[in-house]
Amino acid sequence: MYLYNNDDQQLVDERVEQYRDQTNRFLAGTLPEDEFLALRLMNGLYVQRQAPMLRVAIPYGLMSSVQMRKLAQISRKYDRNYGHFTTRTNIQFNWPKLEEVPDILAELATVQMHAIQTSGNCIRNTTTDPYSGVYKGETADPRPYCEIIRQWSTMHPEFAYLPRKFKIAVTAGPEDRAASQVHDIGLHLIKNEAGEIGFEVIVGGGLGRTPIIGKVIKEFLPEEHLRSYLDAVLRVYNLNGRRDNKYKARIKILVKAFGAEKMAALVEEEWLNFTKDSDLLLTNTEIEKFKGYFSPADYDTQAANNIDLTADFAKSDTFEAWYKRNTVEHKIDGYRIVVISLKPHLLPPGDVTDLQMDVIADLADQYSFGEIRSTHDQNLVFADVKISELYRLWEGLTEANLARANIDTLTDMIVCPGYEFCALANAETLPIAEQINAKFDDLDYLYDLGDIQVNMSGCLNACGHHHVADIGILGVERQGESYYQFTLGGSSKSDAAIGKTIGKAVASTEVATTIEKILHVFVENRVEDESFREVIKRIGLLPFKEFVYAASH
Amino acid sequence: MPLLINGKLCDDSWVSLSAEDCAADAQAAVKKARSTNQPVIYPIAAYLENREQLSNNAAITGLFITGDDDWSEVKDLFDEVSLIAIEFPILRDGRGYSIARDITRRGFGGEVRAVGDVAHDRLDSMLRSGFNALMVSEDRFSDDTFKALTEMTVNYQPTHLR
Repeated sequence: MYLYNNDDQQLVDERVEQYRDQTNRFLAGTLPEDEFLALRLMNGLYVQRQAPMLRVAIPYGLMSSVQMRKLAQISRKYDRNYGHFTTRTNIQFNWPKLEEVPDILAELATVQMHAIQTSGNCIRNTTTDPYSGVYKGETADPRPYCEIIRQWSTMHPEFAYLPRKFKIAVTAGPEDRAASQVHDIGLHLIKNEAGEIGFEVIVGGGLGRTPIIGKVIKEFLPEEHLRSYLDAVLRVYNLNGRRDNKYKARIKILVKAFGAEKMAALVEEEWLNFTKDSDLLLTNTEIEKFKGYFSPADYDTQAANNIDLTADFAKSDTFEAWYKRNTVEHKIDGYRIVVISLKPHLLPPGDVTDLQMDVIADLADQYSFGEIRSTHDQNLVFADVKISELYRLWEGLTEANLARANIDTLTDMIVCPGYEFCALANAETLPIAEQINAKFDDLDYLYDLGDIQVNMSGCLNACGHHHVADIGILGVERQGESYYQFTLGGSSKSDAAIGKTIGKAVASTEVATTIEKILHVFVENRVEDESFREVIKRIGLLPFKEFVYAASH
Repeated sequence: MPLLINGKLCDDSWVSLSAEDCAADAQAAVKKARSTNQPVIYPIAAYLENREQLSNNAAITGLFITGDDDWSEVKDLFDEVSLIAIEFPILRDGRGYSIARDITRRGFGGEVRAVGDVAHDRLDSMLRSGFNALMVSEDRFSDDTFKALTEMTVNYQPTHLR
């Protein structure tokens, strides 16, 4: 992974002291509150319903065991012994003290971490496919490009006060595991006819109040122009994006107003005239240098020998189920990608305790070259595990309640923290997730249903990505009561689609039974092994609407 | 108001003609401002309306631009002015950074002055975006302000411009 050089370290250290000074000036009363608000947000610090919340950046979801242990330590020393992984692959602490945040940042800096630009109207953490570099069929490893973007966007002097927040995702196809088409910019690594590497550039996707799938504005951008082109897009946005209404300020609204063609033309003009051949142009040497930071792990060439999974399966059905659900084919023979479920039974999705973090760090050292990745759907990944060591890893994970074999099933939900933890939320989400977990606790039934994405948000801001789930759930508040509205048919994958509402919101007690009804229609209409998504595409929403809202059954 | 140039407090020899000054009779206001040798900063709209009268003495002519102005043709005026002031109406309006970047890279070599909501925590970004003069808000200025210029000594962005 990328390791800081002296300049990287100095930047982060100076940023800690800069933020400490900002905090001190605020506490001394010389920095106005509304100004400190903007500054603390740019350093990941929110003030929520019960306490401040600090969001720590995990650039493109990649961290080391050393960093994971530090996160565990921080949660013990400054928080309440747990952290929460987000859809931006960052981690949040829910109970830090505002005065102690500079000390937390200083501790993070000792392991090359920070909270820079994890909130605020600036360029946020760049995300990517959690299987980058290790799955068969990717065009190229996206991580070197993510690191290039990280450096370019970190404390960019022009883009700290954008009209609104700005999120970039990079994938290398053919499957999209980073929801790239609902990002402000989605970058798809592709090859042109000459076999050269470049990007298809998509802009103006997003969720929130106005969910939109992004539009292609550049079919092939040669890799050396990554930085110069992004710089041009951001400048066009910074100068033209709306600033009169924060709900209309994202780049998606600008792209919608201009149309993709005009947006593409404005960016092209800026790019050709100014940035294309500026010092933002990447040299081949630079690109190779960045690629060098992400060279393949030191794989065991004998790993494919001495594998006896049949014997391991014979020892435990649960292991076999976990192997099938929670591990993925690796590009190197003898290895698997392992997904660690952060969706245990009846506990908040995405949460990890300090003890679990320590266990994860130890297991990563033992079984996966000391590296851990966080995913868009709030799980963790060990990217390089020997098949022959899977059983022992599974035992270790099981002991720490991290081996629930439910990846991509109904209970592998993306859920925002909801009313309890977020000042914006209108409705609770965590008790509803628990209700769903309690109702669907039979894993065999979940396996039979196949891949189903359920996402839940506690308000229109859609942090739980409910628009792009097979089954999306949106909490709304009416006269002091929480109700839940269902959308069906959304997807954040390569066939990205915004789900459609099926009818009026249901009471909080009826969420799980409503899902049961939806599943009933799915199972009744399913042909052979069709997935939920395939059935929706084939029969549409009407049968679901009719059954869910029928007078009685 | 405190004016910082090259990290030092400087006297400000310029006066500004505001949009309000020009509201009733722009031509008269401009004429009056021009009647002495005092350097004056004119709102870009007022300047363009009276360009013929004002374009002959760059040393005493400056422009005032806001993000809402149409400043697309400002590059044609570079030889006619020696100062361009760019307004930050509120902290959250970051258009000024990109405007400064744009005019400097197009070759404007005079004073690029940040005015409006200009304070400590934005000064470094302003300098790195192309400003070379910072008009700090009076109530936000203290000895502490100078620290802002040295807080960050490294950055990832190529040092463009000056």
